[in-house]
Amino acid sequence: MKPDEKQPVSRRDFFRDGLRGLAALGVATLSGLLMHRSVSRRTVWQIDPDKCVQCGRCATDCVLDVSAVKCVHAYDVCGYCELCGGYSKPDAHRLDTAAENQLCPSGAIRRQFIEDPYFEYTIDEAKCIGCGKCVKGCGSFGNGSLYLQVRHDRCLQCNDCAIARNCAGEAFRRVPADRPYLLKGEQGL
Amino acid sequence: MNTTESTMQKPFRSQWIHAAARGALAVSAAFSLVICVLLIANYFQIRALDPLDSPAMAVLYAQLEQNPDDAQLQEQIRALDLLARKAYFTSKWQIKTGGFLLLCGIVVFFASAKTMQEIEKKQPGPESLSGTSAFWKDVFRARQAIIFSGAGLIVLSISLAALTYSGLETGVTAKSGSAFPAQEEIMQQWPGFRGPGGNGHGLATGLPVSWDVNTGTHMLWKAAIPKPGMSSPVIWDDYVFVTGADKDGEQVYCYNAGTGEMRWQHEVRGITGSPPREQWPDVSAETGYAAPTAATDGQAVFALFGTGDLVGLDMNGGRLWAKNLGVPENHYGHSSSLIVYENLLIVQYDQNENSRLIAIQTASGQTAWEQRRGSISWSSPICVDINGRMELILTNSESVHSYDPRTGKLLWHSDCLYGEVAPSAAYADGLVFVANEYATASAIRVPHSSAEPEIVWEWDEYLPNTSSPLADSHVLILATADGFVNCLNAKTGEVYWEQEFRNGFYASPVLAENHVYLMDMGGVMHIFNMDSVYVSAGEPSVGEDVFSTPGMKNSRLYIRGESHLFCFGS
Amino acid sequence: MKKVTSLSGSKPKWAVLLTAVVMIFMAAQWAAAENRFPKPEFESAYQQPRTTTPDGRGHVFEILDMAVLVLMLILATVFAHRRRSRKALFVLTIVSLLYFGFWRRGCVCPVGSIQNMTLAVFNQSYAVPLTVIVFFSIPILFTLFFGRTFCASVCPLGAVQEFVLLRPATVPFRLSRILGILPVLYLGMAVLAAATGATFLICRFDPFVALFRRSGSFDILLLGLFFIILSTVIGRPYCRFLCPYGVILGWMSKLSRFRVSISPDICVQCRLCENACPYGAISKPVPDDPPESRRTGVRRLRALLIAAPLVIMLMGWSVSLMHPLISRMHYTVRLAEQIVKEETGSTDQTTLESRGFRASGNDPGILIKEAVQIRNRFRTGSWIAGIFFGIVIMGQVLGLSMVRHRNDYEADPQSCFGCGRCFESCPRQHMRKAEK
Repeated sequence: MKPDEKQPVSRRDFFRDGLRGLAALGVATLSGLLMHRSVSRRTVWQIDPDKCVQCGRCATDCVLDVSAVKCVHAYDVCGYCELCGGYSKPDAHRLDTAAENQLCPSGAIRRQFIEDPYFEYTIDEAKCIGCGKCVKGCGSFGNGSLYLQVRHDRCLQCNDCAIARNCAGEAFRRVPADRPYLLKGEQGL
Repeated sequence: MNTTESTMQKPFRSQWIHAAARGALAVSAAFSLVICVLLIANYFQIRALDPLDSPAMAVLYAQLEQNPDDAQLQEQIRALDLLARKAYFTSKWQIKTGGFLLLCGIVVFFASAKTMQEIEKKQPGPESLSGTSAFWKDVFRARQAIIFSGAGLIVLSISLAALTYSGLETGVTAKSGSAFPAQEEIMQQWPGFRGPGGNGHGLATGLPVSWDVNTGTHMLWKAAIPKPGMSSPVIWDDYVFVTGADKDGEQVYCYNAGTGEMRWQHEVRGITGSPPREQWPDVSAETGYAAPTAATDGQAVFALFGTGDLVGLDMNGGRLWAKNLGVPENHYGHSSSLIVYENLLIVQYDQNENSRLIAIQTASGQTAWEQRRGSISWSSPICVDINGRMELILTNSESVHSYDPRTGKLLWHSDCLYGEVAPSAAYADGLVFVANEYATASAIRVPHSSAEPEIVWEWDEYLPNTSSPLADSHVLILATADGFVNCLNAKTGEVYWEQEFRNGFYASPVLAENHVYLMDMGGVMHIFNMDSVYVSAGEPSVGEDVFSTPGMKNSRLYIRGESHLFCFGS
Repeated sequence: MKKVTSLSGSKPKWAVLLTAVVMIFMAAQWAAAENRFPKPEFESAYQQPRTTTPDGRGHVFEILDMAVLVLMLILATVFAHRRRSRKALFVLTIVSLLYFGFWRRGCVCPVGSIQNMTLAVFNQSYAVPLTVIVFFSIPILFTLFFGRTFCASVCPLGAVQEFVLLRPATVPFRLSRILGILPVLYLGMAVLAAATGATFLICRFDPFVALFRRSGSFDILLLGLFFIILSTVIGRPYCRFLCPYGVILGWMSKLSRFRVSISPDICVQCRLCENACPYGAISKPVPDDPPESRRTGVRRLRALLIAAPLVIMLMGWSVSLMHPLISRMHYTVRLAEQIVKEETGSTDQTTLESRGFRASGNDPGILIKEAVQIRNRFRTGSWIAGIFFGIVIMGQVLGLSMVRHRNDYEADPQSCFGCGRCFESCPRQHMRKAEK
């Protein structure tokens, strides 16, 4: 080999190679270390019903036009009362299904007679806007069987959840994806 | 010019596509603009008047409130409600559909614009000649610009910082000044087991050294306590608190310190997680369910029972919060007393498994911090200022531990105990004293910062079974369950004197004005000087068995007997 | 008073154990019995429905996302380095826009993943998902070897801007350098916010993700529209003047092993590419006639090197002064400030947050202590951020004071996105094609 063909590695190239190696090593090490902690622990957003203060921001702050948060019902916690603080307005004159006596602004709660004196309450999710008015009513006067949950068929799992950012009760948290709901009653055990 | 030329050269097909793209461009631009305007209008309309929260509805509701049975009004509301909900869901549909159409419009717009551009594509060409001086000028100006923006950034930061008012620091001092009583205030009271800080020292003056319960000499009052308990009285201003419990229930009592009449009693029940009666833990008769002494900070009183029930009550007996800490796994029954530090209630919850030290916010009952602990104990925490550092000192069946009361951080520990430890620690003048039957009495020099604690001396003759030591800078008093009282030199462990009495001691000695008050199990109060020679000042009796430690405030002494609460004073 | 030891000899431990076992069993019933209205006992055959729990996006899709990311990176690299085809790169851009943008709808993207990684480093209890790690590190590793091919046609944010660029105006060199500082500031602040657990700034002000979702807050949608319109006349304004991930990729790209080049082989200095780059990433040859003597240059460099540590510390200090302001990014600090205002009586207006806090019954004193601790963390953090800004700014000044010799037209590795526009304007490319 002729001496003039021997391309000596220039100082700058050598420097660059070294730095590149370091950077790659750094990124790989960081990833490896964090991966050690991450595997099989994917997380999703959820509301802790015990912390929720029903501030109403779930309805307004979600990036979706109709919030991913909806009201759900823990039937085994419900008292099936005729006078339901979550269904009727506190100043309602009659305990019927008339619009002027209903608490839900979008009429999303269905009330159905089961047997004397019990009534079943069901949430129509297509209509629910997640405002939490019924949750407040049920929590103040009843067993607290109505509560808000992030519905994962709707939630986009934003990296920075817009509701969590403004949640007045700091009730949003990331939960493991294999148990994505924080349920009340027996289903929550 | 260049553009037209190149377009001219294109074949007919390109020209046709170009024209179509131009048409699509114009149409999609107009379409997108219209949709965009509509969407923005929709947004402002909804913002100005939320259909689900309209003022018209509020007016109708107000009217309905006046005439609840007005059928016409009801119909009106129902109609408006239906309308409002329709309007709401329609607007949602509009936003969804509008957004989709807008997106389509924009995509078509840019796609046609791109197509036109592709057809009109210019030949690449150099920039107009600018000469080499422009290159250098660019570099110089860029450098200058960066220097200026860096300087601008600094100026901006400083001015923003100057304009920002930070209100947090002042808030903290204002808060800590009012949220809990000052140290001087606490020293005047008897806020928990063995007084302020749990160290056995009180600031009471002029306490009586003699009385007679039969003639009433120096006895101000005597009141019955409904339920039994091993817990001691605690006093804040005019309020005296004791707790009592048996298999039928747990109670907190509040007496008027002036008259002895009961202000209120609180039945502890209905706590989530509290075990039902038939599941109460077995406890020995000598412990009972009300062994832990209550604690108070003048705003609330806190009481813990053998079932793990913990309540916070206001000074009128109203419940602030309550919780069950989990039934203690304790073969005699839980007996560690509570202590309040600033805004934290400290609970020593040592048991056979899962021992914990818990700090609970006095206002809310929420846990502020928690520390795992090891073996079981029956002793109580003391909280003392050691060279300017507040330390929370606990004993258990192996060791003495010191924690930072604010954070729960372990400061130091020393493994110098053994057996079933019930005596708490005592502190005086840089030395912590611990003792237990079958172990030794040890004086430990409290380490500075990171150093190891040093055992200054040890003594293993007459050791307490339950009664805690009492120390000042000169002497240490130890009282045993079989009636021996020893006085040791606090610095060396040398025995100054020894006395034997007929009854044993469970109660702990307390100090006021250089007089030690030590109650024996038979109800006789041994009052003697805290000194290297034994000088008795009196041995009055209350006439019933006593297992608890006396409380004191101002010139009054409060003693909880088997069934009565006594108040003595001159 | 506390009690009693060795007097009662036998210790009925089994009883204690039994009690504990029964207790655990009882606890559930006891808790249930706490309800105000007891659960009814139905006489009819009524069956209680169960609460529905619809599942989210399956785990399979995450694996698909990662696979698509890697595949697209490989394709982009091949198209930019081997095929040298602008058309192929553009098609890939559209695919990315459709897949990562409109189908997957945003999160997590590599730009935002910086924050998750930071949070995971500073908060031991935060488990960062595998997807995030992959989305963060794979593009960096690719860039280390092949330049910013990720930006070329994999990033959906870049893809939007690439798609809407119509008539690029040239941003003056000076202005582009000043605006080039913005991403560094943004990166510093975003890392600070994530490290202190305050917020994810990058996601919060992402102008394009709301467009992908076709839903979002009005302000952000408007911001998106603004950026779209701006992007028609200024090439990739977000990528060049805001993107924090671009800062990292830019530095990595400086070290890259293979670089995207204008010419497939040699530069003939025909100057035809001078106007080709809408992103100002083509470096012209350095003229041989510096307007000042070498000595002046060296003297200036020496002065700058001496001043550098001072400037850097000054920057750190001045940014650290701002920490009370910056710390308001954190919810707890904002809440504590509001509570202090209420407690000291300087406002009678309560907020939703302060009412929520009061309802929780927590101690304001503890909240304020916590807020002070967080603020102290911000003080340290803003010192570091300030020093970082200082280093970057001084680095740029020094870089502009040491002009290296360059004969040819070259793509500046730091700012080249590898979009491939310049390939077409190079006569050598056409010659090569013709040869084939």
